[in-house]
Amino acid sequence: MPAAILEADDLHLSFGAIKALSGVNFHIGPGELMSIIGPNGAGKSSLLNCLSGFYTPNRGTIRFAGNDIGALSPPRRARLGIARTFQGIQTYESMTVRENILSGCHCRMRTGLAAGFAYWGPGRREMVRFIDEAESIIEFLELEELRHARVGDLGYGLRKRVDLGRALALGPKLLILDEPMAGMNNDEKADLARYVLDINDARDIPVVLVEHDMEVVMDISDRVMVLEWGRTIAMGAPAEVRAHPKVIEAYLGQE
Amino acid sequence: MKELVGRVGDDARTPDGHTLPRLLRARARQHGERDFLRAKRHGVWAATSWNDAVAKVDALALAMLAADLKPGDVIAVIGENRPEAYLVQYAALCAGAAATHLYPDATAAELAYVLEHSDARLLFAEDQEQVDKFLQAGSNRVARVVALDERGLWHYDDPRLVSHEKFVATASRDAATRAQLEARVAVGRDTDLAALCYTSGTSGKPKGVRLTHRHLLDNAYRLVASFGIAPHIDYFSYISPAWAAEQFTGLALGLLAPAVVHFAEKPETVAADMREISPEFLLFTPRQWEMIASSIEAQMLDAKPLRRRLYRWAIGAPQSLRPLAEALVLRALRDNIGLKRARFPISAGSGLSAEVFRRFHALGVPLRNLYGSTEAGLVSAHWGERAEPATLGRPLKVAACSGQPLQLRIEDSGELLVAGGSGFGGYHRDDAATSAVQSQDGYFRTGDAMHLHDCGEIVFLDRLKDMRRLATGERFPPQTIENHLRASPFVRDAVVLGDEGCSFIAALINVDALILGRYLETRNIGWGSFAELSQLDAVLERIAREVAQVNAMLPASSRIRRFATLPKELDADDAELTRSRKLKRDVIAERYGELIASIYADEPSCSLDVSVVYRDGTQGKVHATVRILEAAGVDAAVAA
Repeated sequence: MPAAILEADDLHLSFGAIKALSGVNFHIGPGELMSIIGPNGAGKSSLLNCLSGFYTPNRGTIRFAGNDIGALSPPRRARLGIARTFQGIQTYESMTVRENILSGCHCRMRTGLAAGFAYWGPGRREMVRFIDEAESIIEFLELEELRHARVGDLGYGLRKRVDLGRALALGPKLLILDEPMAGMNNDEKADLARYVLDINDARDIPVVLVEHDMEVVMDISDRVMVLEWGRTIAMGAPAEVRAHPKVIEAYLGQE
Repeated sequence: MKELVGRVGDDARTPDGHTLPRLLRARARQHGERDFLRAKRHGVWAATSWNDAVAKVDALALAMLAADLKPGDVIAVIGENRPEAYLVQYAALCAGAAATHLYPDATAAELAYVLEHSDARLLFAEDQEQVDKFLQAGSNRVARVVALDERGLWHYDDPRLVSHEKFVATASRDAATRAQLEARVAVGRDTDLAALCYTSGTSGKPKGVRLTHRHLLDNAYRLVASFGIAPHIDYFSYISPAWAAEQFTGLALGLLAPAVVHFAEKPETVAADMREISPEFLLFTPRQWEMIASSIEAQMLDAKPLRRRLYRWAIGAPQSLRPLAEALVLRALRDNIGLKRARFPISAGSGLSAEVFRRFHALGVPLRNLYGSTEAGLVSAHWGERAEPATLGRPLKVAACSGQPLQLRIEDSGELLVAGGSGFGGYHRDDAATSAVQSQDGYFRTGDAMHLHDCGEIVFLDRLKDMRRLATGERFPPQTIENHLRASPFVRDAVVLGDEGCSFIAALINVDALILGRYLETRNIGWGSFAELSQLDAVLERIAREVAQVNAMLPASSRIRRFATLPKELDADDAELTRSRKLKRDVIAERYGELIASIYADEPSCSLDVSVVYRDGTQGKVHATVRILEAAGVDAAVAA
């Protein structure tokens, strides 16, 4: 088995008396698309927040590409190549689609404010390079006709796509998506699922997906992890997980 | 029978027995690093120079040789317009083969038919969507499917499928193979097949029209010489090369004139791309021009009142105030829709309404009609100074080396026959169909009924099969007349009467109660029911004006003599219309039999009881005295 990109080992997290995570273990391999599902309050978002550095687990280690990143701040982790989108809409409404995507390149910029302001020499060359990168993301996500549209004028599905584009602009080695399809209609879900699969396939970026829609999860994931009350109750291929008695009981409900 | 004879062109850029590949090489030697193709990539316009184009075409052609493409073979291309579609066809021509293009929205069954019928050896498919159609169609003859865009195809395992990059990489670039390619270019004749264009075929299977190099360049020359198209004109490639018109104006004229050919980034970005390109020469279908016209109207409806009034004033400004209207409104408006520099904006086909045509001229867009058919090539157009909205212009000029000047003949049946130029190349593998559309003396039968306008230009009436005949023996186009009537905002629907038992044409008109209601309100006229509204003096006067206007657009033999407005709306619930609002003529003839009899008995009115089926299924009766009016303009000359 190839070395895992991300390994989480024995994660524990509690808020006072509430134990959000108790001993969660998992790893994600290169090019893998793994989904995390579970009922509300199961600890999915807490787990993601531990991975991206917003929460520090009480116990356990998180290794990214073999290095312990447990002590790093979220921006440091982003610079290492962990990109994340959040629940709901987190785009800059007054900026255009291309500007939003370009903002994802921000943490990779080497030149400073003055060089950017002068728009000459290295600052200009870097900007041209990033615009080209942003444009290839626009092409990938089929947003060409909207590149100069204000994001605030777009619908929910398109804004989520822009959000995804901004995460790609980070040049990620791992992409974490927190409920990207919540509140979407079926067409929008199908579109976004297609893009997530394409990102995973074409760009060979491993994806951690937290999602409520079981159909989508079972359709596109290589592996599924099920959380309940902060514990892993099942882990495996979609078909196995679907048939797991504990999952049926906890998540799908009893017949 | 009427005859029109075209002229010989005097432009020096004659086809001279060239094939497209030889012309491409000649142009590259002349223009080298100048731009030939421009497309938007990553938000920036990127150009392919003549030298680059030749290099890319050769690389593709060498790969085609490696794939064992032989002279006389056919390749197929399916997808949107993009530079690769052009380069692929040029490459196939270099290899001695021909190309057939399919519309991007062709179904899998249509693709299967064309692949089978053309016996295509290679298919160039734009993307996953098109590859899926091929896999669904399941043709066994195609040796290779080249995907221009690999996206989504990473896990496909069909051995015939290959990406564009990998396909080009299969070419052997040694001297012997290059020499083989040069030999094929050198031995190619202008009578070789260059393209197969499948006609939509409203009845039966589509037929593949054979277009030779000679035919393509002949038709490109007709435009170059007639319009006086300058070298390196900015052309916008929008209509599909599956249509013969794009083969002439894009692929062939691009080389002959030559032109700089621009491609939109995606179908969704066409409006924005057009604004950036601001093409000088472009070819749209009547429907596309209508859409541009209505999008301008829609935007003006959203504009502030002052702007809206300024716009209304500007498009109707008298000649003396025209410069002011130009400066204040029209120039900016044309810039906004990408027609600022449009010298030859062309509507290809016969269906553009004179009203939309006039509106573009009012905006300062010198729109011109172009008429032709896949088989006969380009026949006539508004070239020179004059552009009469109702006509399709004059015969185009032909190069002396391509054949006789165009000869147009309108037979007594009204059908237009065309001869001259390089002529009709025949239907692919269908000699019976080929001889069926040719007259004894070698004219091509267009199947279009035309008449000669007083100004000596041709006017489209209808498809010949839709024409009807009066007792006097004269033919008229009922659907064209109905369409003209329907183009009036006050007319919701119209039924044109007249057949071999009648001596004149009459019309039953279903008025538009919504629009006329507003019209009456502004005149403080009240009404109760639809039946009452339909017989008001003000309404009848208004409709009489509309009918007179339609008469002015029609030849004397096709004018409406008497008309009446129906006291009840034509309704699908009453079986008078189909659900898609097509007329059910037999039901209407039966239900309004009394009225029709009164019209032809020259009575001034008719007392009528018409039954109505309400939504809940109950039946009712509408009683009305319907007045029958004499139409104006029946005997006047056609208005200029």
